[in-house]
Amino acid sequence: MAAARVATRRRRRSWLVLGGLPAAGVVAALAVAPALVLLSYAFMTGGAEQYDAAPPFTLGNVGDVLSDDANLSLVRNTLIQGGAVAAIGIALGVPMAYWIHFHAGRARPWVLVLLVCAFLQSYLVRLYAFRTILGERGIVNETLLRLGIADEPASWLLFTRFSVIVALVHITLPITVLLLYVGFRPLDRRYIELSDDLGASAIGRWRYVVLPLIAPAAASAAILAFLIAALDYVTPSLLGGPGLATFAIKARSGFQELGNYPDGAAYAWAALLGCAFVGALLLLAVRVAGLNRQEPA
Amino acid sequence: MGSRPDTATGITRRVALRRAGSGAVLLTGLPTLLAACGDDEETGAAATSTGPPKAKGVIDYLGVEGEDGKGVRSLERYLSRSGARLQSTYTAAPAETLQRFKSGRADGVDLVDFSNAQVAQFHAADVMQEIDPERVPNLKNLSADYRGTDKPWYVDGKLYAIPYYNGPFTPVWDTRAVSKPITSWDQYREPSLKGRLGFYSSPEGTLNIAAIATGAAKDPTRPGEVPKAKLGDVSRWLEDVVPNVRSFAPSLGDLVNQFKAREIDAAFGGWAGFAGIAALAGVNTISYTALPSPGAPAAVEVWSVGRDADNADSVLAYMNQVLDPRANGELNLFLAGGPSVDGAYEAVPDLEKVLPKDAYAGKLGTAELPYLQLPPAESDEFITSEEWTAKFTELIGA
Repeated sequence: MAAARVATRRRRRSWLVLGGLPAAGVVAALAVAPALVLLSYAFMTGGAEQYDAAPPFTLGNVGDVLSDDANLSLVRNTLIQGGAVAAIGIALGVPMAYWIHFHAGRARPWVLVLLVCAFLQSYLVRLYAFRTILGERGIVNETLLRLGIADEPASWLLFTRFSVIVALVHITLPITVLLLYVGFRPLDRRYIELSDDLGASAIGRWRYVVLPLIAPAAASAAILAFLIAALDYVTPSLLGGPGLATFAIKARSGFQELGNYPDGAAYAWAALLGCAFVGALLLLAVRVAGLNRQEPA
Repeated sequence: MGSRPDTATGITRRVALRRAGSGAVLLTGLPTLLAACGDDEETGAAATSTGPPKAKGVIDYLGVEGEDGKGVRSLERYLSRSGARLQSTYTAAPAETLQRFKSGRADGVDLVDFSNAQVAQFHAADVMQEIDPERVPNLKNLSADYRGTDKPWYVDGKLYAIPYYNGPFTPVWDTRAVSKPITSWDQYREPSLKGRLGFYSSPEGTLNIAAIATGAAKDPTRPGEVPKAKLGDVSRWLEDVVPNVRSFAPSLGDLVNQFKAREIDAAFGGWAGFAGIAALAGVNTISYTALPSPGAPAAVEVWSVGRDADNADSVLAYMNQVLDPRANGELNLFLAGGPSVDGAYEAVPDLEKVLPKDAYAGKLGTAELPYLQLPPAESDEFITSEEWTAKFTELIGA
């Protein structure tokens, strides 16, 4: 009997493995292979206006990225852009996900559909919409002026780091909230009631009941938001101003303006590895804090 | 460059009847008219009967949107009469066009579009075919400024592309906000413009302008060739402009957006036809200085025949057509630029509103109006494109 059960389980597992192969193939073909090609470019020889990368292999491109002092400002801008968007996204996303999980009631499916719809809107249209909203003659400034809160339009709302971060938060928030909502799913209302009965304070309730359950999802959401924001070059180009260049912008410039693929690839991989490092640090922090157990502390 | 929509008009029954009547009269009198005209005043499709082959089939175009002649009435009419059609693939910039050729994704492209600045690059990459001038009889219409084997569309004395448009970089500003006309590039450094500039972020265009403004180029007619020792001069000049920059525009069309929204009061890196494009977008207050002090780099747009073109004869016919004064005038009105052939202003008087006829006459290729030039990819003497792009990113982005 036991042997038959084991055999059934094995059969099921092999079917699962087989079922997962197409998905794995797609990931390998569409994500891993291009990334590896890009990585190989970073170690090849190229040059301005070559629009190509070819052997001999060299460490020169990577060395240039690591040794150029001017890149420090790119690191700073990349970290601020990604970090601010991830932090604000989590700060806004946690209460939203909490509300959807506990208070949305029958509206919950509709709220989730709305979130997905927000995600499906054209990226460029949203960026141009922000110009209308945040511009000197935009909705925000007009409102501030009409209410007498400001005497003149606030020019810092647009073409600054502020507008870039606001737009990126807007773009990443649906993903952040959806991931956080998934994190809230195992959180039973009875856990909270029980902690209340046991005399936990509001802070204690969050620290020992809610946080351990949602921390892994929050970390995933934060990493994803960070990656999207830090590696985005279109939003800073359309909504940013001087002094906001990032590694992603430098990588784009290597490919598009210079036609130096190895140079662009070295910057692209530097950005990717840097972001992966930040993500790994965040996951490590969650683990060290003991917040990765998926159960109340 | 930006595109301009054609103005469509509705046709009423009365208009249709009138046109049908005119058509009947024309058909009846056509033989007499043809006999009276002789062959001296050949223009448009008539010219194709003597020189170039006739366009037919599909012409595969690769280049920037709007620069294929779509939306230009006389060119569309020509294609339609010939039974040919354009099949266009658009790229964001000539660099992307070159990229496609280099990666083998441009096989069978017949008509290629880029600017004078890229001719050497495209030739080195074996993108285009030599053109037999005999097969493009309308080359005789080229204005004096565009003739001669020393022009950028010739390589080693051989013709590789035909010029159809000229659009120098010019100062552009909104008269509602800037009362003093911007007549020199140095005015862009004045503190009165702080936080009011839109910046078209083209590294090579900016180097050309900075080289002209500072006199840093070794040869003033070649503003892309700036000695390495002058990197400090052009960088310092740009450093004074950057504090005035409010926003960057990834395209010239985006600058129009920003003017329309009144987010910027002036643009660094606009072109003369900008005012016309902005007017179409409802902004009638944009002004420009056609030829700022001490000069401006001019981008001349060209067409060439793709290396593997399978309909090369049709491309030659289409090129011949774009050198017809009316077609060239209409295309330049559409693109808001300066025509490359004589008689375009007379054929299309509205061009005068876009760009005064004599604004650039006799100046193209001189120190006052040098051709836009890319910095060299490799050089021991001049700032290379890699060095400049790195400096440019550092100055405006870091």
